[in-house]
Amino acid sequence: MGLSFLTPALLAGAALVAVPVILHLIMRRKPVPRAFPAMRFLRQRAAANRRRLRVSHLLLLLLRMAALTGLALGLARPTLRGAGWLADGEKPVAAVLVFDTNPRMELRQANRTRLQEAAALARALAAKLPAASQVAVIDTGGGPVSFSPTVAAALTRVDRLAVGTASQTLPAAMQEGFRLLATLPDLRHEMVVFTDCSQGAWEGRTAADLVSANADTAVLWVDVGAEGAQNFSLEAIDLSTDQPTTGLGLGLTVETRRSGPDANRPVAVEMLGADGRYARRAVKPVTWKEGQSGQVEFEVTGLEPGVRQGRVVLDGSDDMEADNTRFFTVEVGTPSKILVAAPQPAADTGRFLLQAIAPAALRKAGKGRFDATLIDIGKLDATPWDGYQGMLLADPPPLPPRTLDLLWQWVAGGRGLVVWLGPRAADAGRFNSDAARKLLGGRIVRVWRNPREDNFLAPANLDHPILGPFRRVGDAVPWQDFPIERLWEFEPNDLADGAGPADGAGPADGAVDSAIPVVTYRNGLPAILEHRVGQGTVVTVTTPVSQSADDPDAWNMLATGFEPWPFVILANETLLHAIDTADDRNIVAGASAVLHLQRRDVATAFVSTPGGDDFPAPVDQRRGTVTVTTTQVPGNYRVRSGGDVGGIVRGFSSNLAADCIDARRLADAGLVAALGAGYRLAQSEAELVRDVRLERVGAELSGWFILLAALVMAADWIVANRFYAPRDDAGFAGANAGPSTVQKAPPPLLGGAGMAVRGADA
Amino acid sequence: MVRAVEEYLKPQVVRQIARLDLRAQFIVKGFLQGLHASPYQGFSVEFSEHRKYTHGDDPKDIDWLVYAKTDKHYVKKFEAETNITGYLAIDASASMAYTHRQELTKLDYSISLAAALCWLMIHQQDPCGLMVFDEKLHSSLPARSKRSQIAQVLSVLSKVKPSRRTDIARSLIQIGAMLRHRSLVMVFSDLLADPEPIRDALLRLRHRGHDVILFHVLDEAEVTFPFDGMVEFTEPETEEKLVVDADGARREYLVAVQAFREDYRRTCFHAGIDYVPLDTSMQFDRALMEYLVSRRNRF
Repeated sequence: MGLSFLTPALLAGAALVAVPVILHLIMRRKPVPRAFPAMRFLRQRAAANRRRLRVSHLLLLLLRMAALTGLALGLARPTLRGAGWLADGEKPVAAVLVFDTNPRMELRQANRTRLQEAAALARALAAKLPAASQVAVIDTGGGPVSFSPTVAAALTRVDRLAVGTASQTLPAAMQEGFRLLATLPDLRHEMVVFTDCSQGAWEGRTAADLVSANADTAVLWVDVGAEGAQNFSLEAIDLSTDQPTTGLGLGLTVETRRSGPDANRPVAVEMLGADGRYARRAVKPVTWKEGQSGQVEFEVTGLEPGVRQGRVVLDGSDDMEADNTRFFTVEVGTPSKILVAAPQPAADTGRFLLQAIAPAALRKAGKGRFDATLIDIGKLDATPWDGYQGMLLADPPPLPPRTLDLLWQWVAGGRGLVVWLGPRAADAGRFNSDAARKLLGGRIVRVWRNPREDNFLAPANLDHPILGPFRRVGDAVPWQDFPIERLWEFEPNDLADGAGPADGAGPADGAVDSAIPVVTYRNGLPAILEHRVGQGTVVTVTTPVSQSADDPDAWNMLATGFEPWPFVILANETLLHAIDTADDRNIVAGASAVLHLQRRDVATAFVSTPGGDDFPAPVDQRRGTVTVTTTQVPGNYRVRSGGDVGGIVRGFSSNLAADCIDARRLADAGLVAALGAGYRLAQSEAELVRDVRLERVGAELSGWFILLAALVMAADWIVANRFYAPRDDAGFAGANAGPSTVQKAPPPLLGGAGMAVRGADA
Repeated sequence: MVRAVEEYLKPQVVRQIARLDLRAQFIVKGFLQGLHASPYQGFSVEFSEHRKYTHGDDPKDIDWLVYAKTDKHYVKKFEAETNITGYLAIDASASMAYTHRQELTKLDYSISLAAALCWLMIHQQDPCGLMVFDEKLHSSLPARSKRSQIAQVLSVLSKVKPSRRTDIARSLIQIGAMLRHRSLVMVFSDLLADPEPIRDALLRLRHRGHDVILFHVLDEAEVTFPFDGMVEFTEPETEEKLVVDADGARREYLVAVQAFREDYRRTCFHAGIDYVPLDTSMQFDRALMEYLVSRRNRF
């Protein structure tokens, strides 16, 4: 905010403050002269009296100067405004109109979306722009940023604005606007931000710093948010897996939130058929509670092998369509072939892992997720690996470098390896060959012992895909019931390189990549590490599950404790994560989707958008992947390559990010944090015009200044009266003032002394 | 009636009588009239001139006429025995010429009062003398009780002019040295000088056996300090100037004046001196009463 003056020339009147000073200096009020014989009684306090007098004079002087200044300021018509000093209300301005075009701006109220409301207000604002003003329109959807040739052209752009996936946040769009304004330094800068003041727009974001850093720009906030809108919102969608096995069901969980009164509204799951139409597979009635979130779970079964896409939809319509549908893509397949290599006797040492990933009952029923084969680890070299998608090494001994190199090449080809380290790695020196470090991304250092059963798996968070299934139970996983007594301390390559290998061996040749800890023990050491090797993944677990419960030297009770379901999940998820092709099947709208085609002989893939359009996308033949970046429209995308016969079909789903559809109103405290203290929101055309006027012309403060001057004058009058009160003895003062009083002769004595004598004699 | 009598004693009324002799008569008559009507009748001016004969008195002084009437022996008192010798000592310094808004200056007031006292004393057959001083004693009349003495005293009084400076202590010492008989010295002064020497001089007077009545005459403005705003005060005797915010200084001034008078009152009380604080707005009767009280106490 700044102070400006409508008639700045009258500020020259402030120079009149010099008048009292001059008068004070050259026309100091002369004290009234008086003869006074009893002056001795005044001398004692004369010094203090003089000091007090001086202060009084100074106070009077200041009051008079303040009164004159206040009067001059008042007559100069001061205005409080944000447009800077001495601005002219009719001078052209450089204005940037910033629009939020996120899908939540589709929220309807009074049969108008938030974006339409913003456009209408922008039109009203444009009518108030001074002639020859420069106008630019910026929206969160991105695009070129420049001033429009005319105001009309800018309004045309405003009319063409459409909601869509945002490529930038509102503060980022404002930043663009400030940069653009800086290109026109000669004009007064204005920025008008149209926002719905929703949590989605401002939660965790702030523009306060931006505004304060660009104090020379008048920022007007226009609130186009809807109060009391009724909305059923489908928020995040969670899949039990995006690679379900044929015959197994697919679990779907959708988060819901209601804005508005309680209501009943069903939610359905629909699968996309070959004809491009959605077929309803399940419907659930849902009771929506006002302002509350909830969950709706579905189990979809009977999915055919291949890429399957579907959506969860709200039955009926509401005030915002954008959050009524969530899309998903899964790849249904046959059980993955897994080779489980365990030490002699493999049937014993590999039992737990085998039962965990491929339970006998499921294998017999043909419903196993994995088709596992158990072999003696000593026969690993003799076994052909090509047919397998993944491999489990249970408590491997030091392996020959050649075997390790072959394993590295095999994994790098896009396969998965899970290594459960155990006591047979005993000789760390032998185990940590360069080939092993290259494969595992690190080295084993020593065996840690925790005999007091106070060490167990303790994941810091559940963000990693391996821990995804545990998110549903959260803190309820009884990790402490499965103590880890011994474990290998594993040192990733980057740490080992920094510290220098203990055995003096150098780092693996060219092995700049390193294993990344995913899960740690309670004592802080890594429990599960992930290492990307080429297109494959190696997952290392630093404690084994190859020992029986009655083994006195058992390292842990992961597989032998009571109801070891966490181990079963871990065994499956580590393997799934290792063999996953890491296709981006479910992404946030606007993000890039990377799909593995498993073929390197095709140069182009065709992407079918939810709108039915097809466009080609180049294939990275070295990696055998295709990357799709045009994913702004939420929906199901299909990627085809290699022709209709024998070709490859992949797919992915794009869903709007949570903040794009979160139209809940931000609380006042949140608005302060987002917009900065002292923000003012215009919610109607009248308020917008008021704010514009306030910024361009300002709030006139003349009245206040004149009142201030009057108050100061009153104070001056009181103080002056206190010091120079009119004397009620003015007549006497005139008669007796001055030294003449002293000389005054006694009253004349009529008749003189002679007469007096005569009188006396008489 | 009482109100009419009081009018005689007001300075502003007395001021209208130009002739000093008439003024003195006016004051005294007014005072005496008031006295008859007052509770102080015991101070009647009809003095007793007989006393009982006691052993040692000269038998020729017995008043046989009284004896014939009363069958008791009374001695006829001599004039010298019944009268006191009074000296009017008037401060004629420049500061005494001051008045702020009263009709009479301090000097006028003192002269009027002194004239009235002179008139009263002569009419009581009390010898009355006059001494006028500033830095030193410069006019004096020896005490006499003849009627013509009134004219002489008033003549001198009417010629008194204020001079520049004063030395009250020195003048009092000089007066004390001149008086051979025990006398009543009535000092009229504003005492605006260093108080210590003045006190010493008064004590010396008392030490010599003189009775002293100290009429401390101040101007009404010196007592009430009625000034406002910025005032540049000039001391009449020294011409010294001082700029003062009168409103701010009033309180301290009044306290200082009060303390000044209180000091004199205490000193005089201990020394057996009658201290009469006056200001020029006060009636004359108080001063006259002080004289009569002092006279009575003497016998």
